[in-house]
Amino acid sequence: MLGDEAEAEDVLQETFLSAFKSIDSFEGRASLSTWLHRIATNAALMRLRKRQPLSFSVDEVTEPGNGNLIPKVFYDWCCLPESELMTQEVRDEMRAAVENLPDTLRVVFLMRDVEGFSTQETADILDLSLSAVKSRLMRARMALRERLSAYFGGAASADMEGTRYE
Amino acid sequence: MSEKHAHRDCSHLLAGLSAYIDGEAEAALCAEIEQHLAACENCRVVVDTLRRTVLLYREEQPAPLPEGGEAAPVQSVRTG
Repeated sequence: MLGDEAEAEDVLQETFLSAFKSIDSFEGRASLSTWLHRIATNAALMRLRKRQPLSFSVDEVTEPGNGNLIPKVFYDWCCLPESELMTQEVRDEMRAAVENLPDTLRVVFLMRDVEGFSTQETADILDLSLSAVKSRLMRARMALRERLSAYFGGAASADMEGTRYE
Repeated sequence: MSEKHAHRDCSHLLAGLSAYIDGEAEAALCAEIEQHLAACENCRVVVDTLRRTVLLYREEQPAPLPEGGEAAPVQSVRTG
């Protein structure tokens, strides 16, 4: 979420310290893991706000139009074999694609699709409406699809070029 | 299927694709999307690659904890 290992370690420490200090206030309404994630996410968001105060506009989900939702790359890479999809280079591209997302989209994507939280849990932890979570998840996914499609499409073109000039 | 297809006709469906691949779209929207996909190759590619994108990230193993990452919070609590 932070894109910085040292800061993530700091947040991890802050999370456990905060949890120990306020364990009395844990009422058991959510699971312990949801409660800890909420503390950790809040700590990370606080750091992101300090770093980029303008990136957390409350109007983010009400931007007019579909903006970056419009697909531009239609290369069909679905049927590529697993051996080509899960190389270290692809993993690096996937990681870079996530890091390139706006903070508001990245945090929702990581919680829903990587950490496996439900829409409701994500909304509770981030204090967002369900529609805001769904909207941000959709925008994040579409942005990642676009970037990976461009990556795989470019790789396919490069392969063809290589074949042509051999 | 025109290569110049710019999704002007189907852009209103885009907002529902994320819920669609999660199986959370309402029945009427599902039917509309599926009817459209049968006739629109580009949208079919978008749906398939969107679904594959999400699966790739779900299959990806989480990054290992940094060295000392597990012990650090406990140590700081004990010594702090």
